[in-house]
Amino acid sequence: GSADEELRQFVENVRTLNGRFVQTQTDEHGELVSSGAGMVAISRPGRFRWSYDQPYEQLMVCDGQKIWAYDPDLKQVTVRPAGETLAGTPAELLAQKAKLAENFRTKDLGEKDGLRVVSLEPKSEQSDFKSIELWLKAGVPQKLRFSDPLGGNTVVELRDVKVNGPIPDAQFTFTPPKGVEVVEGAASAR
Amino acid sequence: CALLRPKTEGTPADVAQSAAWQQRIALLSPIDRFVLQGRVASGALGFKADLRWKQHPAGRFEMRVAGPFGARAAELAGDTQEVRVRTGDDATTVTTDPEAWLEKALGVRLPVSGLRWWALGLPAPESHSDVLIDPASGRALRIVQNGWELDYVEYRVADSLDLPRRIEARNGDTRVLVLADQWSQLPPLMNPAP
Repeated sequence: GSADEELRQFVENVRTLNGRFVQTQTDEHGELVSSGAGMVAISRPGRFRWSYDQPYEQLMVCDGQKIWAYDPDLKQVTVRPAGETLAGTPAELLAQKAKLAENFRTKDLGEKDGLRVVSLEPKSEQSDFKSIELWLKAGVPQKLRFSDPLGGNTVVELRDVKVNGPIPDAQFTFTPPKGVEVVEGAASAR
Repeated sequence: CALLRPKTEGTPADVAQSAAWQQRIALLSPIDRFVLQGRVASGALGFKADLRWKQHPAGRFEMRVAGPFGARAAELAGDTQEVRVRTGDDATTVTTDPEAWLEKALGVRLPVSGLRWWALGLPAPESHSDVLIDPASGRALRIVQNGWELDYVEYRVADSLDLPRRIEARNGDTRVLVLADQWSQLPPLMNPAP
């Protein structure tokens, strides 16, 4: 379907989503900067779990009110309020409460490899990204592409995506491990 | 000259006698190029960023620091004298004090001035330093230089080299953790003269 149809199908039909993701980051010369992989679980609206197991463990959990980011290597947890329109990460983008069209100027970039490509341009100035590409198939997200200020790209590909299956609530709660410093309110990686 | 304090207070191990330290210097000092992929974080500020440091021969380097998914990415490129900073396709400035620039831009000071040597576990040769070594392994345990105090908390073998993995760096009231996740493009191992 067209961009609008695919976005509408996504917003209206996808209540939960889980699967694996593979992430590759390249710089403006196309050289690999980093790659990672992990699990994603989303319960729309508002809740998600995004956990890396490669190249190292890293976890982000949003219970609808707060976003927890836990780095075992850094022994550090940051927690900040879950904003309405924060488009800082794929999970926040896909789980957000507000309708996509409310917070993004959408542009249809046509079809590639059988997927509908939609450009999302955040309306708010504070967004970390000028635009984000969302690739969908029958309203189900398959891939996201973030372009960074230096001209590099981070591509997140979703794999084995299951939609509207049951996901236990425990996936969307987080209690900081004992002895780990919790830092309040720090806005993303500021 | 490097003032060395013995790790174990009892046995004085001055720089000449510690064969292991001399061997590390001979092995690691010729390394004039590498790519280090890692993270920098300051717990108190909740700051965390991905770091890529590309060291080139003749002291030139490129440092990329960015938030998740490349958010707010900045690139510093240059040498110890002058650094060009790029934060957007057209936004470029030049600085002779990259640490001060980064502190203004990111709100946290990072040990850029000597990272080229400190990441290898060596003091920078061109200025005074205090180094605390473990005489047995020859590993640096602490390097004090250029206003930084760097504690080498963990080492790990990368490309058959015993290199730092976790460095806790302090400068005034700044506390920063530098994690070296991956090393690549190191020059082939030169066998140091016995």
